[in-house]
Amino acid sequence: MKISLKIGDVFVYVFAVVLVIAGITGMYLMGLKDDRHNVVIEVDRETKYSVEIYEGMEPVELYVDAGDGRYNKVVVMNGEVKIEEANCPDRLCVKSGAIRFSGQTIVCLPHRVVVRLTGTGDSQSDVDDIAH
Amino acid sequence: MKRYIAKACPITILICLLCLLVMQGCTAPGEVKEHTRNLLALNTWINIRIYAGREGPEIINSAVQRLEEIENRMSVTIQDSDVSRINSNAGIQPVKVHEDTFEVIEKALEYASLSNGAFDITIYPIVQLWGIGSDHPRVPSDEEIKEKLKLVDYQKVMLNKDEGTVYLKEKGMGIDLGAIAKGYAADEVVRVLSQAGVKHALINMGGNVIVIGSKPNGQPWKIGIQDPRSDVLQQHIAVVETANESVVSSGDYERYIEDVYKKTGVRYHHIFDPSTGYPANKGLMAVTVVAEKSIDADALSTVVFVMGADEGLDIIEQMENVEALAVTMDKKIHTTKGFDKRLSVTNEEYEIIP
Repeated sequence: MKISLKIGDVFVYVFAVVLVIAGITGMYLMGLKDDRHNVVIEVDRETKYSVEIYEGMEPVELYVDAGDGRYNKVVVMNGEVKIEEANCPDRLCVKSGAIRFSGQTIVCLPHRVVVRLTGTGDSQSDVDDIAH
Repeated sequence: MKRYIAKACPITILICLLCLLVMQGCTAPGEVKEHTRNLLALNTWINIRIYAGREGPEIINSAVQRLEEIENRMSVTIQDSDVSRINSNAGIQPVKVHEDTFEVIEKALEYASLSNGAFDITIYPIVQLWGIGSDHPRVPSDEEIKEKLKLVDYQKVMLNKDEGTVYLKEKGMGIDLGAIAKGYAADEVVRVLSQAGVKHALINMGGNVIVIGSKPNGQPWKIGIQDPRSDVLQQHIAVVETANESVVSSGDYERYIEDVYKKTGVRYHHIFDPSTGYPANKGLMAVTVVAEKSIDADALSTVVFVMGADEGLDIIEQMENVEALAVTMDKKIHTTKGFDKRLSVTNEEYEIIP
């Protein structure tokens, strides 16, 4: 059987190849997202920082200015993030410790600072939430 | 058209069909997925996690709107809230309030009489005196406490259901709904979400957890009970499995005067005993209550913490569909009958006493 290719056929092949490449790239990017998170830091509901976080990264220190001399020192490192120091009255944010899983949050209520891990981390906490 | 298809190479047609199939997979409409929102409201941090289709964000918006309504009515720090107006008119005149506020105060008074005053929203003058959690907490003198304690009496809160008014009988009195409003708000969020058709959700209101249904995979939600003596939050001593319930913990570990604790080892925390004017001191570090309604779990966790393990758990035992645990200073977890079977201990320093 003789197969004769016309210009239309070539277009369809090119389109199919592009689609396959786009699909593979997309899956690769989503796969990457799986073991990477973003740390999002909000002050009074406004996003101030968004930093990528991954295993083996160099520690990053961020001074979050909450206005009027109020601050929270956030340390982002090796797959986790914590508030190391703060001059809020209750220091609950420092006591909260480090977070590792997407969806987890550290909150400094007096300074209205929220540190949140986003992304589709494949690592899972052993509980769905904590009552405290 | 037919002519073109007939002329096209068969392999091309096959590829076209494959492409169509692939693209269909990309658009799957209305797929149920997780939507989350974090916000600061009611003086606390709130996390709403729901499973819904594309309408998810809008559903959450309506829940957030409801939260803001409640905050504007019940916050003691918002100047023109119902609660602030009740307080500033203490000893002067009754204040007309929204039915939400009325309902919560009515419920609070029920718990006050049930607990013989261990739960008392008129504790506000004492809360202000200590200022725990504020910029300037301090240990007041006995005289100061005695003076303010005269203003603490839930029986001097006058409700008029026909008029929808609330009146505090004496000047200087004040109410604080902090130990119950979060529970009410959580129930309202659940109501809004359920009405919008949400079947699976988890809401965390500053540590008060409430869930709708089970997890989307049919498994129960696993809720950790905060370790009251861990240096960091998010460490648990036990895990409870739950569906369609609220899990609320109260304890001496979250807000206390740190300077004094470091110097003397005495923990002046934020849950006051209305009979003494001092932080409740019945040998407990933490209490967790599980109930269908979060307003009940919220109020009852304070009731048990103030009354102590024996008396407190006795009260819970008399209620249907409410369970509780109380953690004593010697790291024993006392539970209501049968509740121990739903718990798994995750910190071996702690032991369950059913």
